[in-house]
Amino acid sequence: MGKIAVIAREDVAALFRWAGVRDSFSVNTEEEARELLYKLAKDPKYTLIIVGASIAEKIVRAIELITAEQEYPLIITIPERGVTPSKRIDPLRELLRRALGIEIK
Amino acid sequence: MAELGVRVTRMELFKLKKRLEVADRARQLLEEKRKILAMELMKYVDKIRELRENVNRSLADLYDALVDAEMLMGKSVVRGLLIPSADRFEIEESSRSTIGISIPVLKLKMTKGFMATNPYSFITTSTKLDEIAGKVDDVLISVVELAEAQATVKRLAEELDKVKRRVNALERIVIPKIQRRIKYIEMRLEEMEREDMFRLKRIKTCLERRRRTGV
Repeated sequence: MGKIAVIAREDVAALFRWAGVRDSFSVNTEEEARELLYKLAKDPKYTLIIVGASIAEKIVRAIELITAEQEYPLIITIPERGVTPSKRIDPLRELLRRALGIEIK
Repeated sequence: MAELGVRVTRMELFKLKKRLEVADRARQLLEEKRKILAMELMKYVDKIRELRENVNRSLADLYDALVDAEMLMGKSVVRGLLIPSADRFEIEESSRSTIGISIPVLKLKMTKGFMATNPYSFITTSTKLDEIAGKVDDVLISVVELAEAQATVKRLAEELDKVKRRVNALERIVIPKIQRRIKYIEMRLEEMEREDMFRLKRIKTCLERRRRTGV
């Protein structure tokens, strides 16, 4: 049994915290976000980490590294109010390009 | 090209021919596996696109409901009501096997209902708030589905990469190397046969000369 964690902008994190995802965090700086993500990724109790688009945008490299190296936790980027994740932060894109030789739209 | 360390014997030739057969068969099997994996992967890529749209849609719904609630009750009231509650989600991880590859399976479990963990007054709040809670559940369900599909794609793509590398190694290195050795041994054997032939002819003429001269 694994837990879910959320790293997002304060309004989104508060919403998830209220709805029952207790480990919902908001961060202020890029550094903080990266540190928190690595800390959560090291913790085996988490199966899924949901990252808000505004934060994911800043820590693309860290997300890619964790996705490439670890099976769990899985990291999913979600849109926040007004911010949709860009194509750049899809950690599977590079893998698929190499494996299939196609670009995923 | 001289092949170093190759024993030029018929036995070695026989062994190499057997190895070539095995390598070629392995290449064919891996090639088939590669095709199946690529097909499976393409299917999942389409599925991910769909699931990502689901996540986006359910989140848009959630944010819309939040805006509605804020309009009805006031932003600060809603913010004030959003107090942290107890954890009520867990993910059960297991795995299944497709074409010999272990694929993760995730299942979202809601350990408690929303009302059990969030006792707030029904009189002072709008039903919109309950709606939001339900929508968060929808969001998490769709996010977990997406996570499972993404993890599957990752496993399949990694496997496909591995199979591709093996096919390439067989096709470009192992098989040509065996073929080169076979050719080399065959040529050397022919050469040896010719030498033998020549030697025999020489001996024959020598013997004939001796018989004629009577020495």
